[in-house]
Amino acid sequence: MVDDRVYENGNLIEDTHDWYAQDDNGNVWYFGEDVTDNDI
Amino acid sequence: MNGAKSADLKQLMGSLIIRMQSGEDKVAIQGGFSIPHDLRANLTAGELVIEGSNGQVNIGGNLSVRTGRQGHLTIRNEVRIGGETSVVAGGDVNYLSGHATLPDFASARFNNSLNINNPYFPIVPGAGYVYHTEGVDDETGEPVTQENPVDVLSATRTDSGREGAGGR
Repeated sequence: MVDDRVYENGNLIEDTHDWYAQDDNGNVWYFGEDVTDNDI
Repeated sequence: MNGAKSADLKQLMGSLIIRMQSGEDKVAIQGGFSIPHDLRANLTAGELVIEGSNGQVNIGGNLSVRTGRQGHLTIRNEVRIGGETSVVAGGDVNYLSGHATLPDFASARFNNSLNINNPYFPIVPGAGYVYHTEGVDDETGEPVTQENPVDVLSATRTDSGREGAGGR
């Protein structure tokens, strides 16, 4: 899992967990995300 | 275009002349589309894309493009130019070719799905990146800075029988 955060002017506005998998041929597939949005 | 925000041209009888002055201007010529005579573009700023990925763009005459430092030109895939080509660029020019083919998800097999070592998209637990951007808020005009840390963690989950790792 990759934790992907976005800070705007020092404030955390989005925290996303992205999911990927690689198939036997080397293609990387995106399997969705879990997102937390923070109002600032 | 001629004061309008956009135009959808089905057919063109003569030459196409494009003048762009704003960095927000963008013109995309998408195939299949034919310009019987010349395509002449003058970009002080903005982006011109001649896109032949979904059908050929056929320019019967000459292609002449002149760009300022803030002008960007991209020519992609099947663009046929009957005459001469002249590009005088102050900004970026990209010529891209090659068709992308999408792999078939239904037939994909995931026997080692957590070993994500695709050279264009490696996802290795422990890796981390920080992206930094600066800009101006479109609504307020105030300066905005963004920090975007991205960390690959070791957590996994199973989705439709396929085990996946994280990444961006």
